Amino acid sequence: MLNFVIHRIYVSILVAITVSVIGFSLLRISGDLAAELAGEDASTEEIAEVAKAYGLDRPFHVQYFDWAGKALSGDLGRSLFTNELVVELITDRIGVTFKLAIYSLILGLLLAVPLGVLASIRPNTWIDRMALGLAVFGQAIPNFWFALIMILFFGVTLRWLPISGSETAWHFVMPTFTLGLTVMPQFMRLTRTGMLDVLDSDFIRTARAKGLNPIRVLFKHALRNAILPVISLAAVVLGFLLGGSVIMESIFALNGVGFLAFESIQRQDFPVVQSILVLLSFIYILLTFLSDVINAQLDPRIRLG
Amino acid sequence: MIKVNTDMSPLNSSSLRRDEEIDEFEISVPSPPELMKRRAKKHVGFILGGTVVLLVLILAVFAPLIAPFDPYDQTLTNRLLPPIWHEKGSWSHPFGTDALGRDYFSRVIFGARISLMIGFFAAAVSAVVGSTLGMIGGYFGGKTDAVVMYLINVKLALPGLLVALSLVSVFGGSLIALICILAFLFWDRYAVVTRSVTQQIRTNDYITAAQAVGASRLRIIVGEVLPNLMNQIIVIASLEMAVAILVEAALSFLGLGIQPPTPSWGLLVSEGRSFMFFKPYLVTIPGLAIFMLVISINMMGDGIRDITAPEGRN
Repeated sequence: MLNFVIHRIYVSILVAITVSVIGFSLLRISGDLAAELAGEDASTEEIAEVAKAYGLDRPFHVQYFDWAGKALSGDLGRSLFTNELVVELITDRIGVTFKLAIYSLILGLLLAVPLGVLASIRPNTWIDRMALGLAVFGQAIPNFWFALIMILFFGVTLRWLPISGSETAWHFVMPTFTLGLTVMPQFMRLTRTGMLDVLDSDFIRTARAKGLNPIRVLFKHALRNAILPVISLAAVVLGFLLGGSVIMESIFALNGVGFLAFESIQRQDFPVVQSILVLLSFIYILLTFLSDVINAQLDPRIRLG
Repeated sequence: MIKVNTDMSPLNSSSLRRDEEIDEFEISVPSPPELMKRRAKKHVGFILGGTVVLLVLILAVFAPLIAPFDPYDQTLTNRLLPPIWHEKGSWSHPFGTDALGRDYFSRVIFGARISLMIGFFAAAVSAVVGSTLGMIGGYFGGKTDAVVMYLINVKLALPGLLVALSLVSVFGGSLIALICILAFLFWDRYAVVTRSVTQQIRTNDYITAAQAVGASRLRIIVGEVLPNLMNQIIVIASLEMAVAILVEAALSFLGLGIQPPTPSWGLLVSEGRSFMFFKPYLVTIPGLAIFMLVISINMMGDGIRDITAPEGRN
């Protein structure tokens, strides 16, 4: 177990460093950032001045180490656009993104797991077909479009729900539902196949043959085994939701980091963009690391394999 | 049809020659392609999805012949005409016109070209990149494999949509740039699957045999490993094509994808959004088009999986 954890930490750190280099260089490959910052009709001297002011005249690796060093001590620089501290910009907004991601994840799981279990105990019946149909539907629907249709219907025609802002829990209903529907299919399919596999195994037959309560067999014996891969997928999906909520945040005017990243990308505000990219990557790395370790703890085949 | 001679041993052939009529008979053993054809004919999802995809493909290829108007042609006197199902609609513009007086039907048909092209090429490019990496990692193992796994981990850790948005803002929203950026988003699944399958088949006898006769490693990977992965690669490709179409639409919707005035379905939704409350068809039509194409591709992909590998259904 210790070897497994050490190996995973080593890989995680390596990946984290690489990701930070990529995040750092992403907007810089566009060409001369100093010229971009100085404005369209800036003279060569002005551009050089801007480059000097932002430290862009130094070699790339010097800039990276300077930035990484400061970032590790909590200084992510200032936004080029609003001149606010990047740390403050992000901490102000990450709550909204986290809320949306967690709500959507929970909704996705609440829809998917019972459906998957139902589908697996009655394979090839109407329940199974309906569950699969819903999964196909959720996978194929463009979520930005679905969100607009919901706004039209629940926001404008019925006037039940607010269509923009993040003040109350009601503001999260439509974006949560949209994202929940997007992530539901993969959980549903995984629960269903996992349950089908487990229900087919010898120990379930034994449990049933001993005359155990069928419901107990289903939840205590079968679901416990089938749910493991679903939990590790949940970690991955949470990471995806944190980075993938850009669209919902921009449609529903939720002021989260996704929308902040989107705005900053459009105005080439690289201190903000690189901080958000690297932060979200780190969260993902941490989540998958934790889920791997938990899985290895629960399943000896992984840590010894 | 395979001819089967029941006369298994040449020794008693003389005894059987007496009744020659029953000496040889034909039993029909369907070949694997024949079996697949039969399964395909019975697979409702595959037929339904495949038909819709084929129809959209025909629309896209023959768009200039089918579309009644030039999709870029603005007629400002004909702005926001209602579609045919509206009481004031007319057959000259079946889907009405947009805010610049362009025929919406023609724009939607030309939009199919963008979606199919981007979906197909993004899936194809990522298939080449991902499968190559996966096969190399799976075949060679050891340090090479560690490098491939490391690349996959880095790719997974990056927030894909945000990276794609940044890359579009750097390289612009041209068709080729978008295809490459989307391909970068989707190569990992091919790599993961081809890597694990390659690991499984690497120890098979025919690989050892190929090594024994001195086949080069390139030849073994391309000639012996790759054909065994083709089915899986095609299945992943069809599913990734659907996702690529969705992501292209989302990027174009956000304004960091295909640039106006090119008609992309995502862009049409975004352009129609400001008129959504009064002219909902501007949003519903392109959205339904995306939904229909993606669901059909998915049904076709699920169908291909069931047809080529029925044992791996669930």
